Amino acid sequence: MLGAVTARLPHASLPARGRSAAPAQRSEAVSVPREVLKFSAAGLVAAIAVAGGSFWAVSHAATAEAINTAQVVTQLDGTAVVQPLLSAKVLAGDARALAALDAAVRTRVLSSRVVRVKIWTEAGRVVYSDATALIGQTYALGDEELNAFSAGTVASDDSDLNKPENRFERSYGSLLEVYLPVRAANGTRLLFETYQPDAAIAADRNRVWGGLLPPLLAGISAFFILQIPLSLRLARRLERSGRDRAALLQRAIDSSERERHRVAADLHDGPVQNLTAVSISLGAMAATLDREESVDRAQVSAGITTASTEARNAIRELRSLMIEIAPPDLETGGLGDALQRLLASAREAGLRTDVHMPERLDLPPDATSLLYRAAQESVRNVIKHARATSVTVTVMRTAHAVTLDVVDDGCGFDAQGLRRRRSEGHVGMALLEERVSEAGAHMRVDSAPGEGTTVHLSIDV
Amino acid sequence: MSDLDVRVVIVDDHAVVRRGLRELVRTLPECVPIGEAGNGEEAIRVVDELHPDIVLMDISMPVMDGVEATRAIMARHPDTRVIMLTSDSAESRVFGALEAGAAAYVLKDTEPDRILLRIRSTAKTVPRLLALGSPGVDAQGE
Repeated sequence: MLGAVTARLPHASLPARGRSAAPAQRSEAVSVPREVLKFSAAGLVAAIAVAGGSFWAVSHAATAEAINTAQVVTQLDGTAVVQPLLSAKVLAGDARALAALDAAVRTRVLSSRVVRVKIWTEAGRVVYSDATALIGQTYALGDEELNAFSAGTVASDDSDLNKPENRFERSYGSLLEVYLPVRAANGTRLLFETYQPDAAIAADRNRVWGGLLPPLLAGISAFFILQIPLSLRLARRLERSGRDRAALLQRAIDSSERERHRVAADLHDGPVQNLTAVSISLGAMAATLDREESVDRAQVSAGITTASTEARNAIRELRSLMIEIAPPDLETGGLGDALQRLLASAREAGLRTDVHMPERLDLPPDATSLLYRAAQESVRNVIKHARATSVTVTVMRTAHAVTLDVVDDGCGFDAQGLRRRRSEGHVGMALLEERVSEAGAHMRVDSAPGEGTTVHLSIDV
Repeated sequence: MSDLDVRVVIVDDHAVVRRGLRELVRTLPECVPIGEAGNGEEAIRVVDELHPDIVLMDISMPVMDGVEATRAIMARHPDTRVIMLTSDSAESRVFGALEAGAAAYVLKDTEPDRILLRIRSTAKTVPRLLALGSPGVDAQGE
């Protein structure tokens, strides 16, 4: 290391540019309250949808539970109270046996929950009912009753009060009929039927509702309330992300602007001055030829040679700028070709050049691009400022990194010289430092007056 | 070089432009380029040393620009005439140059004949040459 100047670049990201970042931030701004409101509104819609679905499911379950209760009531009454009393005498219509059954039904079965009882034969004859006028009457059984007989399981259906066998229940309003197949003592299959008012079923349903509704509402409310801090956190993250994106965009815009200014400055300092000199030199020759009768051929030749040289210098600088504005396609031609083309401009400027690099690098495109940009800026500085006789570019690949060294034998510089160049608007190295920093790579410039300069770049890959 | 010659100093930060201007000035028989400078500070030193009649001064230069250098030169050498060379004709730049004391301005990318005409016309206003009755000034005015 040559010593005097060692610029080690920071790895942390660059501070945001307060002045120019503001407009981009405004355009990309994420309003936290607005995002929270939007998120909460969406959450509310979701909560309402969940609540609606849940209410429907709970209502369905509560109704099923209420009907199930009605069937359980009928099963208990039928098997525990009625079936033991279904003797042959009852089937035969014996008055005493029927009275005993009636007493048991009235005391143990009938209630506000069960308002009517009927016992049917498979043929549709009413063996017993607490509406005594129906006993001995025969009616056609409906599908539900017949299905209950054949399936042997409890079933239920809404009561059709228009049927003649139901004429005595009309005063109770809507009723649920529950059928339970039972057997008389002699094995005859009978159907025990209870009639339960809808009000009783509704009471059961409401009881189920009452049990499920509070935790359901509490759950949905908790879901809605919990999503507010979540949405707040999300909105803040969005805001941060938007801010970072805006800052990144602004940095890119700033870099692009500085690049354009640099290209403009290079055009002014290079080709424009060369061509101005060509114009003035040719004008001087024309003036000489106009005024002097005897032409000094050597003088004219020298003038034309000078103008020609300046024109070539202008062409060379324009070509360098073209490469800078539109770098070669590194993926197609490879880094080696690009570096050779880059060094061609150094050779045209009279420098000896050398490139050392492995045949295969296997680098990601970003790393290749950064290597090329670093080499480009370094070689360009050698040509313009170093007053060197040679420049060597070396690329090396290790297991986890790739390095670039651009070494010249020029005049070198110290820290003061570096500061002066930057204050005079030479921003190329500063732009490169930004790119290196953003890529998480490391760059070091070693130089001292009279001892040349080495630019070292290391990229972890 | 005789006392009657118009002595010219050329100031520009680009050596190639200075060389071209030197060749151009040499085409005027009455003019002699006597010195050059690469920035405003150097220009002040050269003018202090050589006392030219005319300074061809580039307006944009590092270290010290042409306007500032012109102001300093005119304060110390009021008889010297400064012709400002500019790359653009922006009014503020031209006004700044004239306000600093420049006798004239000329665009760098104009036809070289115009630069020569400007040098000649400005030479006619140099007090030293007027006092001497310089033939160049009298006979070959614009």
